[in-house]
Amino acid sequence: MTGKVTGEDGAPLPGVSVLVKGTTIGAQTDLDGVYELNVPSDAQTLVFSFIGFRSLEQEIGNNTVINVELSQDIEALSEVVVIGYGEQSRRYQVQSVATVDAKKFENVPAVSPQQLLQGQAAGVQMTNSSGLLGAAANIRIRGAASITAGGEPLFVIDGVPLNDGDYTQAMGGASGLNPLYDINPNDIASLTVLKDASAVAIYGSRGANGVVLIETKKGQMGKATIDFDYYTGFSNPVDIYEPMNGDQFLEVRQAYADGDPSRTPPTDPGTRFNWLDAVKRTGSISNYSVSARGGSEKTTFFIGGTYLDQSGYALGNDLDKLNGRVNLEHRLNDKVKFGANFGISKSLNDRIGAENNTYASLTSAYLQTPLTPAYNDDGSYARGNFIPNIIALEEIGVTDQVNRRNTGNIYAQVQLIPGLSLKTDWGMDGVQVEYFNRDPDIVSPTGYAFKQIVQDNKWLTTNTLDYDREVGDHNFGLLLGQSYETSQYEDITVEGSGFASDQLRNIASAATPTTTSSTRTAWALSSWFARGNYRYLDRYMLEGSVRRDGSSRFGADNKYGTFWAVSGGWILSEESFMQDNGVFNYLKLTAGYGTAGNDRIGNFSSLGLYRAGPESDYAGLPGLRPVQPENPSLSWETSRSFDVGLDMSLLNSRLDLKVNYFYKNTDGLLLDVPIPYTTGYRTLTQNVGEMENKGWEFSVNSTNINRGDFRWTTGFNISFIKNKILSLPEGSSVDAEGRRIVGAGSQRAIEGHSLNSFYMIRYKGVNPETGDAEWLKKDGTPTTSPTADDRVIVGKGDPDFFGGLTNTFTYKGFELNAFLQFVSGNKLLLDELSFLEDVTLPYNKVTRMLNYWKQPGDRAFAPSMSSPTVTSFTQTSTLQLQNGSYMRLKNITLSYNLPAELLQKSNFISRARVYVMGQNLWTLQDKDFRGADPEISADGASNRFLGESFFAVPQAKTITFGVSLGF
Amino acid sequence: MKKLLYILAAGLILTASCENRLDINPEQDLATDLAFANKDNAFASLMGVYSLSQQYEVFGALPQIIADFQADNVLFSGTFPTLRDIDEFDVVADNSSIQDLWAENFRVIVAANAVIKYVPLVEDDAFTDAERAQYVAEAKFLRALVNFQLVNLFGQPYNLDNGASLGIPIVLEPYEGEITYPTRATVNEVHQQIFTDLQEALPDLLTAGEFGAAEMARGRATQGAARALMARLHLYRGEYGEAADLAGDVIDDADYVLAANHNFYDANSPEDVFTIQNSATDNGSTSSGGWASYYNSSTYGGRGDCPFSPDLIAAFEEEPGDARFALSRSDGAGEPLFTTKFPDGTTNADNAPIIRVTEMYLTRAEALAELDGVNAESLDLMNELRERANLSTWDAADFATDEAFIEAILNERRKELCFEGHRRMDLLRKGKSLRTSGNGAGISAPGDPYIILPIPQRARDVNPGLDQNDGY
Repeated sequence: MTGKVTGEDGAPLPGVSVLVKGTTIGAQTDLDGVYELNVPSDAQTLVFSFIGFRSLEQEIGNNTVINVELSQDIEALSEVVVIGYGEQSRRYQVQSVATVDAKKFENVPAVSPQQLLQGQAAGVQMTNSSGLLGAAANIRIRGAASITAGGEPLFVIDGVPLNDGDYTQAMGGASGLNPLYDINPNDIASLTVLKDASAVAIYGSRGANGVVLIETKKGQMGKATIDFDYYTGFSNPVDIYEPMNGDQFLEVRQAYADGDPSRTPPTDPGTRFNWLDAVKRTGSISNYSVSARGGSEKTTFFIGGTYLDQSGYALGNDLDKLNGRVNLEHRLNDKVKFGANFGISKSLNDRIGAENNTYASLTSAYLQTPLTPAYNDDGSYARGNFIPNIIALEEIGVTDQVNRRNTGNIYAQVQLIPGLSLKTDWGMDGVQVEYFNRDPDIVSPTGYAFKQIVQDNKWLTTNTLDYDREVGDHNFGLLLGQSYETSQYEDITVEGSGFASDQLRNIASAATPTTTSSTRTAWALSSWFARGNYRYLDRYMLEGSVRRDGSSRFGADNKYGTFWAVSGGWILSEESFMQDNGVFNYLKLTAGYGTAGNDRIGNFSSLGLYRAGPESDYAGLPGLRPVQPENPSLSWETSRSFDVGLDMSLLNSRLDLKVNYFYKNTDGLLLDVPIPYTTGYRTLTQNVGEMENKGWEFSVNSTNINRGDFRWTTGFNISFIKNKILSLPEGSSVDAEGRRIVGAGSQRAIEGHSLNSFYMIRYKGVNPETGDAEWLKKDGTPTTSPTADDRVIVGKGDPDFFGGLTNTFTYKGFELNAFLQFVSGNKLLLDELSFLEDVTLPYNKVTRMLNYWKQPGDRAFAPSMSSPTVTSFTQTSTLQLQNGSYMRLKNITLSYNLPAELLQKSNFISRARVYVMGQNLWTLQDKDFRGADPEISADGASNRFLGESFFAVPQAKTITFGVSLGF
Repeated sequence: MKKLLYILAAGLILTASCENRLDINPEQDLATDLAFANKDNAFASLMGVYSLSQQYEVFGALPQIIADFQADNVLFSGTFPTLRDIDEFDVVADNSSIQDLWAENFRVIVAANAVIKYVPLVEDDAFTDAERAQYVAEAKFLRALVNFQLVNLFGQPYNLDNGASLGIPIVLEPYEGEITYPTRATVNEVHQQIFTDLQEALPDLLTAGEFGAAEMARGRATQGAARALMARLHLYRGEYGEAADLAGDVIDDADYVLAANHNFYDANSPEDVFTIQNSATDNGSTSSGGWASYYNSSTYGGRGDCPFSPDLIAAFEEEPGDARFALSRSDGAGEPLFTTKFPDGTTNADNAPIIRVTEMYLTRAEALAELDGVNAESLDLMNELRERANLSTWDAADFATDEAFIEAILNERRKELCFEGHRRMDLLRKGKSLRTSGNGAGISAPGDPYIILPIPQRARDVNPGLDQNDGY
């Protein structure tokens, strides 16, 4: 038989699958949309199917030529969703999974893949740690699943799990940079977030925190299309603290001295300098991207490259990133195909100090007094004291980080018998981070240099056997797989001081080498996994998966773990009683239960260890001292979760609604349990704690108006998640109320409450009659001298709910897209306020401190200068605790697609789009919020600390203009 | 179908070989069994025990300054609230300095237990029995030394009730995966364990002369050190006969010779019987400090926490011209006076003096005086020290009573050994109060609750079987 398949516009459709119904006999259409097929004489029906189009069945009858026209399927149900080790059609899916496709983040000036997930998927909470270029991200998928073990989800690119360890220097911050900012967002075709047990169980001991699958753009059959994109723009901080100028500073310090005769009044040296203006600039960003994709029936390719050049709004923070990718696939014959995906990246990040570091641009600019000059009279740099001359540091010092990353995989797939295929996949991920810091003499007397090179190289192999078969109304699928993965980490560190000149850059020239060190460590994972699918009558689905992982990290008694999940689904809309119901076009009920593990523990935490090195030496002889007690039963943390969901499509498929309820219980939490000191150790890491997360997720996609040339669609998602610590081990520290806790600071995990509970003294305000600052005692009565016993639970760092709202309006070639992201119910602890609002210290403070109490009746922010509470005013209390709820216009884009008729005149441009985009332009936050940015969490990916900052820099608001051309 | 089988077989073979690859070893650390895999590793583990005892909380000055802050040689002038509480006799059970002290001292004991248990089991033909016995003996010495330090701080002095009050738990096993909850033994039981360890170790230890280099002879456990430590323990227990004999053995030992003048500190000279070796790159100081940090003023790189007390200055000024008083300096007239025994405030490289032969002279002189009253040998021993200190010699006629003689010996002991960690026990073992004026006056006699430290709160939270000391 033969024939031609075309689309609604008459254009030929290559790659359409043509199948004889009920058999495995089939073919694909060629570049002209033509197919050729030998069908058995009793064949009755041909089935035509293609992604994005409605499948069509055509009776053969007596014909030998059948031409068909396929119509586009605007239903998202035909969408093929990438899942762990395979694909599924969204229609029949029983797993709980969220997809974000490239269209949603096209041309968004994001640096790392985590930023693309923010507010886009129900159940996924992502917080940028700060506004530094390449800053770490905190991602929680259905709540935090651990207390002390790592909390990041597993990121997988084309089947290769990425290395995402701690490779970067913290530089004063509470965490390093994002280990994944090498990845190029322009390469990404789609992101899939695996959320529930049935989706993550196949990742076994690494699934508990969720899994993010990234598929890069692949080639497609047809004439090669070339895409070119360029955008450029500028950025400023969303908001910033307002430090005092010289006169204000003197006024406040004088008033402070007047408050008590023992205080020395300030002296005015006559010099003034505005440090904040000097370290703040207008940031800029430019991005060039070009790619080509296409292919023949046999070979398809995607080649692309991107160059990003970004300068942050903080002096000295710049990022240059270069990415390249080649994805190829070749079909040898009907049965064999093979291919390779390879991405390469090099970036240069000119870093700045972070947070608790007087070498950090903004930190030092806030604290340095406005009386301290940056330059001497002769124009040379003035030497700083406790706070160095940050201008000199950024202009002549070096703090460069060079990242190189190579990620790729090659694979071959063989169809052994119809329906059964074998695939072998060999992948690698190699990352190298090189950091060099050189402080000139004006900043560090005699000069200082530090260099570290970190490498983490992974290779893995995945071999799968996939069998699909349809027998009448029954559909079976079986996947069997085996995988081995290992990665080796190495680092070299050298450090020295004492340079004859700032021109001598390298440590070889240092008079005093202070550090020479190198370390190496590795881990390995060996696994078997399997997944079975069964579908009956295209409306009853059952799925089960299991994985057995053996890890080098687990203790000798517990080296292997088995994880499994079972889920089922029922498409009610296909039932006879639901036909012609007039409301639901599609209604599916799913439920699942399963287990997953978290293996983000140390590489050797289960062993008893003795350590050598300078600390163990005696009298010049090398020694070994015991440092870690053994725990041979140490193993992964286990999450058990239950999920039930309803997926529906209404009003002629104009409204898609998904509702999910989940309950996730994690036990075997790794905690350092105190043991008697008479064992020679203080703590033993054991799997002992238990925690739960539960909540509701809603997501809505609707086509509100689709009339003529005007279309308005909305996407909305909101998640309500509650986290609670169920049990902590005996012997844990307890608080004054007798509850077991982990942590001794303001943010701590409390049994019976959230993992990120804040336990602090409550601040009341400045008494208008007395001018004294007042706090509340535990019983609620005011006091001017609170103690640690007056602390109570005052809030938590994790939110009550969060989500995103996207509205897209299209009219002819114009499109307006607005994306709002919101978070509510969480608190932030801004420790910088304890410095910026303290008049007793010789550092600069914010202008708000001019509002101090002067006479009875004043409603002032700060206490009277003669009050005894002026020295205890900024003690750690809810004074620094802020409401972290906000709604932010994350992205607003106005674009125009030039009409096809106009472009045809050019003869080679097939697509042209111009756009202007704004990021973070508008924020709705608590009116009493005193920080710079409600989106902050300087501890990066930490589970224990969320929403804390100590001078972390705020996000930037950016405006970019761009043009996209297609050839 | 055959093709299928071959492919599956290949896959199975591939994966089978992968399973072994899960055995990955750490590279910066050694698993416990490797730490005693051969003679060299066993020796390194022994050096590790010495290294742990260099720590701030063990012999890196914390216990010694805690003792000085309770006694009357030092006027507390620091900033650490945990140490101020000790000076003010106002200590609470969750004092973090005391908690660290307890934890780190037990760390040394357990590390020593590992050497004692595993060295005899090491499989290495080059490891002779004599060498094994020597390593075990050195570990026993260190264990005894640390137990002695702990029981002095956490248990009432022996002479109060012949050691019947509670001391510290006796821990003799390394950690092998089973958590145990030992209870406190009595002071006397702890003393007996110390004697057992030292007596068992004595025959297997080398003498100072058998070690080659001075750092080894003076920095590692030797027969002289074991005898000296036993002498000290007998003296504290009032067992003067044994004390005198053992001290006499050390004095007669050719390896130990009284130094000609007071320049012997940090020198690994024949004056030293056992000192913990420190260097600029390898010492126990932490951000909290080390010996030099506490006993020097900030001009000399220290923190200025431990100047001479007025009482000690008065004791020296009773006999002007004392060469030992010259081992001091101040920043200027009217400024506090600090010792120069640990002068290196910059790199904290000073060795930590634990036992020196001068102490043996004083011990023997005192013990003989307790047994025989004013006697010629005691006078001779004391006069060697007096001459070295440029003071007039004594003779029998100077002392009307035996008690006066013993008091004079104790006074000389105070002036010789000040700031080396002895004063507190020297007062308590003679039934005297630690302070007669200021903080602690009237509440610091042997038997008073606050002269000893509380068992750390965290230790008792985890092991409720540890009874707390009275008053805490």
